[in-house]
Amino acid sequence: MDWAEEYLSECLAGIPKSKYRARLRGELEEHLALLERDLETVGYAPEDARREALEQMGDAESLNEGYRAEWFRQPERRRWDLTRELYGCLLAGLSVVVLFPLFGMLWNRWDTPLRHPPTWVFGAVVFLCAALPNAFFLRYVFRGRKDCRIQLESGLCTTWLLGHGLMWLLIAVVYQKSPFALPPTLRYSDRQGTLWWYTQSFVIWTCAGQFVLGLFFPLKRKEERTHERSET
Amino acid sequence: MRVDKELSKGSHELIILKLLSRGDMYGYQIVQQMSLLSDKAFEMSQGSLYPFLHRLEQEGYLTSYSVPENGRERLYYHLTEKGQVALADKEARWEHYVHAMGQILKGCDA
Repeated sequence: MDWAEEYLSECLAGIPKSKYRARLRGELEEHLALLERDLETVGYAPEDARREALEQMGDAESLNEGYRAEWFRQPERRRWDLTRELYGCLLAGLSVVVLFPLFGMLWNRWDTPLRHPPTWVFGAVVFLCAALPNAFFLRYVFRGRKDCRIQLESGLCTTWLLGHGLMWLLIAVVYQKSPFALPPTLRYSDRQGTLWWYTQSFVIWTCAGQFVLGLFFPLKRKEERTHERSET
Repeated sequence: MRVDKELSKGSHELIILKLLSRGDMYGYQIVQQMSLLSDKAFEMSQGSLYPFLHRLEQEGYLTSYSVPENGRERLYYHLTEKGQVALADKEARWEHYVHAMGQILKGCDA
């Protein structure tokens, strides 16, 4: 079915690898093969039969709209979304868990003529290091979807909260204290300037930052925007 | 004469359910039967059949099962009990619609 490959790809564009995609592809492939066979039986030349089969199947672009709408209704789609959000969470959660202590250590050992750069600069850099890869990942995974912005927003905020939750839990294990009592304990018992990164107010404000980032993060890549502009 | 696309859109569900009440079928067979029984009056772009089938399956009106055929898995659709109830309901509504429309058209002619 090499002759139908391009057509099928167009029909199934935007439907990610899933059981539903495989099923739909299988049905369309078989349908095309049977249609081609029957057209040849009634006297079409092979090339004409293929062209006619594609014609009778319908315009790939409008079929694609229907297939995508149907994929959106599939229960498998919700599972698929959730697993991708989870991958995003793992990605950014790991960044939080690894980057925060790492940057904290760097901040504490910083030795330059300026001495310490402002801690908020470090905080902002860590924030962006953890948030941006996740934002790019989520945009890639949910590209072309109507709810891309919502997925991006929920992914970024959930990830941030879960990442910090994990961080708190780790610190709680290390310090052997309740995770809820932890931030003030750390803040007041230690002179390290980076410890406010683990406080509730920091998490809440940076979560708001994630929300704002999700609000303004471009949903299309630069090439896609350029392509659209050149088309118009 | 082919039925107007917009007019036939609303009747695809009823047609699919009715055809499947005659026996289990796969997608291509449904399209062929639809064309054959309506004397080619009801023809749809064939690829658009599948979202209909999948939606009806989601709603519990149909179930599907695969049968190996020439090295491929062919997906057959089967009308469920819920589908039979829906079919009876849709048929009744359709008859009511046709009757009412007939009354109007006859009234206008008189």
